[in-house]
Amino acid sequence: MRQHLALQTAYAIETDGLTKHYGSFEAVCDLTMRVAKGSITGFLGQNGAGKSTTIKMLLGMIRPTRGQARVLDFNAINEKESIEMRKRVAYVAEDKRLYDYMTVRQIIGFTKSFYPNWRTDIEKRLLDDFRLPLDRATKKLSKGMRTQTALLLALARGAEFLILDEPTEGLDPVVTEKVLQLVVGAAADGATVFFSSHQIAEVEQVADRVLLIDKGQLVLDSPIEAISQDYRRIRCVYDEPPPLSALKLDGVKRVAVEGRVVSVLASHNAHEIAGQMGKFAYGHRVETFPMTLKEVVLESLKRD
Amino acid sequence: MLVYQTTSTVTLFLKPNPALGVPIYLQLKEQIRHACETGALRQGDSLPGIRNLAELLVINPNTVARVYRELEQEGVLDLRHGVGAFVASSGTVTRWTAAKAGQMKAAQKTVSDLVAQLQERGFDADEIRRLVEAELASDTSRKSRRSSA
Amino acid sequence: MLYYKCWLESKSRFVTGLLATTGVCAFWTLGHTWINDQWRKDLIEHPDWNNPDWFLRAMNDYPFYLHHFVYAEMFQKLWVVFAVLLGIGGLMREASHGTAGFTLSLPVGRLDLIGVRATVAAVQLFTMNVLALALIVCLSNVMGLTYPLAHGIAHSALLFFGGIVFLAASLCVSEFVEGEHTPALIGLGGVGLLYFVMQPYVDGLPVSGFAIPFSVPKLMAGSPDFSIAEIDWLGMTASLTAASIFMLLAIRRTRRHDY
Repeated sequence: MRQHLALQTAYAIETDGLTKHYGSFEAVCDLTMRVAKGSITGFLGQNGAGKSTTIKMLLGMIRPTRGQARVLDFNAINEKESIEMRKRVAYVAEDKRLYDYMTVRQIIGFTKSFYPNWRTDIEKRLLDDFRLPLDRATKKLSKGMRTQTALLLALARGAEFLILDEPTEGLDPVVTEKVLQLVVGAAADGATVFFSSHQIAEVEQVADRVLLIDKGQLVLDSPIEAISQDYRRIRCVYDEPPPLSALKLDGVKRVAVEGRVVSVLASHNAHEIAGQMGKFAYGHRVETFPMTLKEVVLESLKRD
Repeated sequence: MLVYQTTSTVTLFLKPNPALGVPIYLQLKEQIRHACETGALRQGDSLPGIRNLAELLVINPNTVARVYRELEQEGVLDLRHGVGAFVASSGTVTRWTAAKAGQMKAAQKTVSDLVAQLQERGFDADEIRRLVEAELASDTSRKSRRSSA
Repeated sequence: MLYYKCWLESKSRFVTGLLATTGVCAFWTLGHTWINDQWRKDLIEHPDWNNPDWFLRAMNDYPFYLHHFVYAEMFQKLWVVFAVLLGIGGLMREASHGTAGFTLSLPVGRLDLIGVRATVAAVQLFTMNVLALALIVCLSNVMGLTYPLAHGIAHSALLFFGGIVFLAASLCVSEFVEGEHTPALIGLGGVGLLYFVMQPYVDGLPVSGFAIPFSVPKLMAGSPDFSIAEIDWLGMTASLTAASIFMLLAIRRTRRHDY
């Protein structure tokens, strides 16, 4: 197998043209991305954008229509390799329900048996921190406790890769912060974290990189720092809008005309773009604004 | 009865706010520098480990690592392998002396004069804020391109 | 630990089945004397009543009586009901419970998942057979009646191997049909229909024409006077083949399906 030969890959996820069609509906379209090992990646997208479908394809739960995917350098589409890969991966599904015929103790014992690298110290610490009732049936747990149990089961596996689908959904702010703390702690221990979320603020807080998926396509793939350092909104007032050809510069992502205002979303190179726009502007006044991740996401999701 | 609630240095730092438009790593760097300047952190004091600080502030450990690295390069911190991060004994951050305090006061006067001028010309608080932010933002992007070039 | 999970999942169904089937056996064994007396009284008091063919023989021949009421009738029917119920489960059901993601993220193959499920259910059904037989033998002894063990083993085996097709069919239906109760309803409905149609043949009508492929109940019951020569080998082969086909379909389905 590949990983015995050359140097180990630096990527936890590598996809190439990953696609999933359900009849005529394209759930995921031509997704090509690379997620580096040891990083925390936030995967943003609206409901139904394709986040869960993508994650399920990576884990072998859904078979892609087309394309390749490698997780921890195992072929995600081959069942045998996928099983090997899953020994090193911890997944928390969007639906955090657990076997309702088991108690917390039983499901811990059950899950433990599959992972030889199980971290009993993490298990004990989380049981304590979360105050989980060992002998209560999982169906009798509150939603918050169910999520905490699911997270315990994931984090105690000693996995090198955590894939979390909406880990803080439905949780109160205190528990949410605790979950993010655990994610950060796992990353500090060397794990790669890939989590999908609706909460832009969370992603901005802990992620190294952000991926935004919309209607099955990747519309944003950027390090978080680049967002605050390089992304700019550049605006100008005009009597007449400048020719679009003049704005075909490196870094220009979107150009919008609102009345007499031309607004450019730039992913980088803002200085040059502003300079160019200034040549055509009324009164030569060009305004440059920094952008938050939220603004960049909302802009990226706008339909032309 | 009033009592001192003592906590360690670790709680010295405030959680960076991503929504401020300033990168988290810059905010943290600033906070550490500021702590050195005001004397909250002095030469030889130890800083929390990367993992501890990341967990405390709930930010990415790579960010903390980067901040420590850059501050070491800038001479503010000393990173001793296997031991931890310490405020450099021959630090480049000068603690605020009376002179520095005087400088800050002068800077404050400059800002208040500028604001008064702009207000006289008819700009309101929001416009003034936007002008200053835009200026700093274009300044940062120019600087970062220079430093990465 | 997959076996442990399947066990916990099916525990209450299994225990209910065990109690029901052993209860039935206990009833017919312990009640033999009393029932026989009632029958005698009826014969005397109501000579005009129509008696089914097996009636007279059942009164005097204990193994025949047991064969009729247990292996051909109640026990068999209950066993089949629980074969269907114990076959319910699998990833489709987990999907409707929201736990499919958790299970599929474990480092286990889909073949293993269904294989363990099938094995646990088969062992559970086998246990029901063994315990029922053990109970019959013990209680018969207590009642002072003789029941030849060979007879019991033979009929138990016929019932198990002839009827395993119901388990396989249930496992298969569970892999195709979504929902908490729908697969069970389909399974039980199917079984109910089959037994309704096949009942006259069990009672004695010779099997012919369209009914031949469906005469599993008769196959499972076997002939009351057991002899190796009388085993319907063709029928048994057909039943086991059908069971294999159901299993292969189920396996194929679970390995290819997107959850």
